[in-house]
Amino acid sequence: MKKIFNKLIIGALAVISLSSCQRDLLSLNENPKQPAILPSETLLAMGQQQFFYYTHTGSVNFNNYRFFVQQWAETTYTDETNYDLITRNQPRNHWNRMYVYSLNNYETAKKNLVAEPVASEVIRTNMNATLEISQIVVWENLVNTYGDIPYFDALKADEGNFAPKYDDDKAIYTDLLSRITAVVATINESADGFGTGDLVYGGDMTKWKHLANSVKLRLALNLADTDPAAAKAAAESAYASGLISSDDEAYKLQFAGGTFNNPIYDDLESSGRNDFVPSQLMVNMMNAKNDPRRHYYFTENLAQGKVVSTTTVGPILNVTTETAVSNAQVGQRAYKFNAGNLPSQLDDTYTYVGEVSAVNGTEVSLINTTGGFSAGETIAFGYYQGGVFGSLNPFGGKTHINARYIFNNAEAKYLGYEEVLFMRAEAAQRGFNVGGTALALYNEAVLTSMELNGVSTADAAAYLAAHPYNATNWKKSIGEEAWVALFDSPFAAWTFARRLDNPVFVNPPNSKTEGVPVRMIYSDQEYVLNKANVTAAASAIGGDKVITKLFWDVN
Amino acid sequence: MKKLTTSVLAIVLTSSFALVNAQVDTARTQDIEGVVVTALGIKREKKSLGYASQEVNSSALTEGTTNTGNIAAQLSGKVAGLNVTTNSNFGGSSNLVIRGIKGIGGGNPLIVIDGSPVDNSSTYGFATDYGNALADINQEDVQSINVLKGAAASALYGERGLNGVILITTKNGRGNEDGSWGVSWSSSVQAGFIDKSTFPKYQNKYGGGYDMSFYTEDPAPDGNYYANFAEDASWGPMFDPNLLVYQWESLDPTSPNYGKATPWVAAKNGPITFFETPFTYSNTVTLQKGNRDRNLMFSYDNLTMNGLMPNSSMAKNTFSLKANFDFTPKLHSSFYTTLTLQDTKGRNTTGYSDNIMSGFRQWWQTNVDVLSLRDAYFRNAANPTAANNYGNITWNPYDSSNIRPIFWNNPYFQVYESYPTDKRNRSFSIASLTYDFTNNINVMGRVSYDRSQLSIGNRLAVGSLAQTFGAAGNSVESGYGRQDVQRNEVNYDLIGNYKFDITDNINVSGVLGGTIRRNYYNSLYATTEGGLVLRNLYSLSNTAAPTLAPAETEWTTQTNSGYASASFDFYNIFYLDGTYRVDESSTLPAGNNIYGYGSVTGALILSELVKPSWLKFWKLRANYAEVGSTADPLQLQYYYNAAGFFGDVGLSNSQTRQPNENLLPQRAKEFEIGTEGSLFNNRVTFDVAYYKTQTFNQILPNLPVSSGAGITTASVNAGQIDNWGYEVQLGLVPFKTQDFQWNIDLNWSQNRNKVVELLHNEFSDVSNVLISTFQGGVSLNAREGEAWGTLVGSDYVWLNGQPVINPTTGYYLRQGNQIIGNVTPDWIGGIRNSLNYKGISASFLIDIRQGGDVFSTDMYYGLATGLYEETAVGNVREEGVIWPGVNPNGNVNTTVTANPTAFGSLDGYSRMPNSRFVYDGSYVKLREASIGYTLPQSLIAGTFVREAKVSLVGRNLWIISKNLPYADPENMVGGGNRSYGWSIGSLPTTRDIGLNVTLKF
Repeated sequence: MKKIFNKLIIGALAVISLSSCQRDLLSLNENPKQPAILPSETLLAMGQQQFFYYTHTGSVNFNNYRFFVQQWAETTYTDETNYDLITRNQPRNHWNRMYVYSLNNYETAKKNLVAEPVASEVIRTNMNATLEISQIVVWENLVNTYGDIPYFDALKADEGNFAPKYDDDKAIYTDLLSRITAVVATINESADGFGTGDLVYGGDMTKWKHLANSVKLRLALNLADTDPAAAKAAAESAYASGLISSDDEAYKLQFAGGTFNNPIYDDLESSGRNDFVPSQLMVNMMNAKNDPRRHYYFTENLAQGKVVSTTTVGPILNVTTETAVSNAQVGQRAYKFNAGNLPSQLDDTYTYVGEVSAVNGTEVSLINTTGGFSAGETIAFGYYQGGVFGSLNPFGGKTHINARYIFNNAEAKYLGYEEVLFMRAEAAQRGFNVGGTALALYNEAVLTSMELNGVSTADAAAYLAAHPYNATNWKKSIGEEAWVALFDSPFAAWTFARRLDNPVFVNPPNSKTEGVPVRMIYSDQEYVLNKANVTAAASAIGGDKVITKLFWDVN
Repeated sequence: MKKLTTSVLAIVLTSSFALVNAQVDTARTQDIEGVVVTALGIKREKKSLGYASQEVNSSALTEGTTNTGNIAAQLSGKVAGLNVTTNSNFGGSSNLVIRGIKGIGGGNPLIVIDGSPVDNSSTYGFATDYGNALADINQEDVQSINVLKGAAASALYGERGLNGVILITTKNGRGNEDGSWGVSWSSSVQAGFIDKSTFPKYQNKYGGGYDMSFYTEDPAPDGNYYANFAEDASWGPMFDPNLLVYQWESLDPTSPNYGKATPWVAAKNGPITFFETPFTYSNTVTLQKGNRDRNLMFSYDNLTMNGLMPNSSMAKNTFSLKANFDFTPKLHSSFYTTLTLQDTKGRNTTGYSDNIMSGFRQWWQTNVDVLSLRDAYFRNAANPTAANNYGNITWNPYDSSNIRPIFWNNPYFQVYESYPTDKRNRSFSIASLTYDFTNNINVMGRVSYDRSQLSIGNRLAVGSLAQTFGAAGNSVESGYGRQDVQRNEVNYDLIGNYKFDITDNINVSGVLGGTIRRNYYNSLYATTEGGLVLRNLYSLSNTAAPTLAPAETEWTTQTNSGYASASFDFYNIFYLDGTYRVDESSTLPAGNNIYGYGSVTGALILSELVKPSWLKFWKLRANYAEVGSTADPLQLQYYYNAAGFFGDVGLSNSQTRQPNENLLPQRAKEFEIGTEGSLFNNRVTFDVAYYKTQTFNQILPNLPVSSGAGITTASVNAGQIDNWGYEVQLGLVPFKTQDFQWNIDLNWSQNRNKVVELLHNEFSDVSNVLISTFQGGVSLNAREGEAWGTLVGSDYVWLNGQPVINPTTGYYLRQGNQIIGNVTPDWIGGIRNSLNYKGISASFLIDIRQGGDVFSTDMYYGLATGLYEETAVGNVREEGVIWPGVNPNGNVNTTVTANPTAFGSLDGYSRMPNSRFVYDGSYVKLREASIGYTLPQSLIAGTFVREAKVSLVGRNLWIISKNLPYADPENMVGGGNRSYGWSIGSLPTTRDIGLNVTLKF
């Protein structure tokens, strides 16, 4: 009755109406400027850009992996290195970036792909596999960051499910492993996948397959301590099906610059800020091992002395300085200082002269020399000094992150060849058949890391000779070396460190948590938007704390 | 400076309809038996109304105060149930709320001028408050303002009357009695003086640094230290006039102190010297002529002002014309048009980043002399080069060898080079034609057209601190952006009025009509990328890198409505009204987009039944109403926005909202009872109301949901908010003789609010809606079971009522995600006294807000960076403090705070829970005061002046009481939801004093 009455009144209105037709009225609600649907290829690219940016960023507001693994320290504002995960809502921000900006774009792409015109069904299958593998990688990140997460019920907003239940992390592992097996079987390596919208592999399906298997290897290794049989089976099937076998196959995104910059460039360069320095833990470990990668990871600090005299003994140049130079140590590089003010860091006013082989009071011995000094000139020693994790670290006096990471179009690596080699080394050590011995794979992993960072073959070999693989304390060998090698792949480094408990991290004295995080706490918003489910999950994993170990992290 | 969480660049328009606050000023305007304008411009006898409304006439609105340039602000403290919040932004917003927040997302009343709705949206963007659109109306045109508070009063406005309606009636032309032209001229000049209780008081014992040493660089060769240039805090070395330090000026070759170490002492000229005295000049000329049948009024108003910030100015010109003309005794016409042209430069930045005020209140070195900064800027700007950062010689460079700013520009460089500009044109016109068929039936046709065009230009001068700027969201050191926003609204009304006598003593009157409304919005936003190529050329083509396509937003909405009302009058004793309205909206899906609702009201005139001599008038009234409301445009689908190119691949922004193709109209229902009366020959008048409103089935276009669903928000119908409260108005005339009269007008209102339910069902579990996030980890929320406006953040850990302290460090323990406050006031009130003695009149208004919490980001950081006096009491920085509380074992804490010599260790953001920085936002203000003198006729007799009045007026003269330190609890970030609960980097409040002269010829 009421409806009829309403219609009568509206009908009467039509007499004076300028727009009497109901359909015309409703057509006003169509957006004249923006599309409601995007091609799956665009959605894939959007998901990739977001995934790489927000897993790689060093921003205090997002994943904070670089602090969980204590590779970076903060200079002035030390809340995040003291594990304040409340003020900046990092758990919420990372959660949202993965589910909404990455996973859901892939999910929408899958739905759109069904009806899109594609050259052949083989290609459509490959495209679908690309999206499926892209999603699996994000799931692997989420389950290894938070533990139990919404999985089977997730991404169903269009079905009206706004509060998905959480699933057991072990069950998610099992499902991801079978999804990988299934999707790899659908790939046709001789056909194309996506085109230029595949920002990572450009549609190369072999690379996608190798990525899928490498993710499987990550999952398998994590299971090794709790379910060795399943771990062995999965690792071996992944190896048999083909792993990432060169840096060219690494799952990494080279940013374009312009609108979409590398996140480290945004954090360290374009922000104009001086917020981060390498941590003392990292720098000291590399100093102790005289690691040649320091020259490529960091910039050198300089200690200086005035030259009084020099003598040459065979290949060795002995330099006597006015007063003993503090910080001069064996293995450092020596430079000649030409002119100008005294910058605290290396710049082009310095000329490389040689490498320190001995320090004895005011006398310093140099080898591999490329020149000499005259009395009255200044000798400068490059050294590396990291920031104390969790404390104030004046930027000026500390070693900085090397400029080679800080380009707007630098790459962000999520799963690299060097990591695969370290994983294979560990797998071999655990008795899995992954094509080689632990020793050989370990050596290859270290050498690959050296090579990818520009270290000479000779220096790399010398390093390996000085720090050989220790099969009895293999967790330390692999744990520390992987942690160093994965300086710019912090999520991978975190996974190694948690599984192998090496290197050992210390909770800083002013830490706001009970320990160094081994998981990310749940998003605060879940407690007001999905309370029953998140509360159940928190209890299922043993408490929503950063020190609650994931199911596989038993040692 | 701590890092910014997120950046919001493009402009945001809150669809808030501004609120006007009107308060009956004297018994004159409270004339119980008078005629008032009600919904749709219908004139009614006030005594017959069954709902609360309150009228403020022009004298109460404007004569007791300085001209704020925004009549919304001038309603503050004058209407029971109307909450006005005006911030101190230059040209900033006044936010109006009637009877509490009724929607999860907030809400503001509809503004209607002479029967036609006008836009009062608050515009905010680029961290700048562009004001609310009611400021476009010239206050001199306003005859009166009537505030319709409840649903029953505004039900005929339908969807947009949900939050109450403010009806503005403009003046009609009235010539002189002799039939000649009437000319009036009024002129005012006013100046503002900083209320120092709303500005920081610095400590003067310690200078710049993050701890007490000069440590960022080795000493210079002469052994003197460099100041801690890069450290934007004042937790540094203790001042010592005998200690020579290379300070920022020593790096500036043009400075007399270049290369010199100077004594380490507190600055002579602190930030308060940065401000200029704001002046406002306004002149209005009105010409009018006519009689009842045909009359004309023309007015021109010119308003120019400068703000507290150097290089800020606004010029506003308003032209209005009103004409009434009867073609025949039966055919009446009316026309009103107004045109406002406004030009503004140098609006202040609000919020956290790049806001000079946030620097002064949070991140600053107390050794920095502001006048030296001024001189350094002007000396260097005269010869701008890359070497001197184009004049941006700042106190906060990286180090002695790099004078680029690390966190803060020279504030003078910022205001003189990186200032924003905006131009605003507004025109509003109404034309109507009425034909009287009989004495009892007429029909009116009316068209109104409201159009505004806002063009914003945003500059980042070459040489600036790198900051996020531009559509791509990258950090750049220079740039230019512009946004053009056009809005318009057209209303076509056809309304028939009828009136019949059913019997001699029973009659009925009412309307039957229809309205078509069309709204249009169009915005274009474009920026340079990667910086500017040439200095001082602010043009999109002067971009250093390829730009993104301009962002376009465009929509049109339409609502067709039909309505009818009937008002029965029984023996002038009982009145019964009913209304019904049906809307057809373009923004809801087919099948759900036609909906109706109505109201019933009753009024019983008790004073017709009982007639003691002291009782002049007494009425009981009650009503019940339901209203419906439609959705914002383009809600039924998700649309993608382009985000730029990744190499050759175009990307869009991700979908974050689940659209809903089945939205229903939202609903509210309200019940109200009240009584009003007049005693002792109008010496006492009163009006008391109680109401209860339920808003339900709300359209929540962005209800936050678990992002595990793949989106962060969903568009749903859900949620119930209840509001209930009391309103009291009281008018007293304690003293009245032939020559002297004293009036007291008092209003008080208390609104209670509860978010009853959000969304719980098989697939949803939403108990909180995040409304906005503040710098510092505090958020403003609508949380189930609480009043709207919950502040959520970290709190102390409590044990037996005592805060718990870590016995090792002496720091309080904290727990996150706690409710730490609520922004909604407990009650508001105003008391106005007016005294008239012959030609002299005086009045003052006390404006009170009780309750309403405020989170201070200024204190959150400023107590850590050591700016404020309380951070340097005694030897706290050397010795630490023992905070009161208990250790986890329950023993009284005896641990001294660890590491006090480093900034942030004692107090402030890093050590204290957010609740430490939540303050009660109550205030008592002397809002208005005036003394006027009308020259006696004897003085002006024989001149061409017919009437002359001179008055001295003041506004915000005294904050009698407040609890928020160093800031005004009313000064929030912007309009709409930005007017609640967040004190950050606000400009100080000024005491405004002005002189007005009005002459009539």
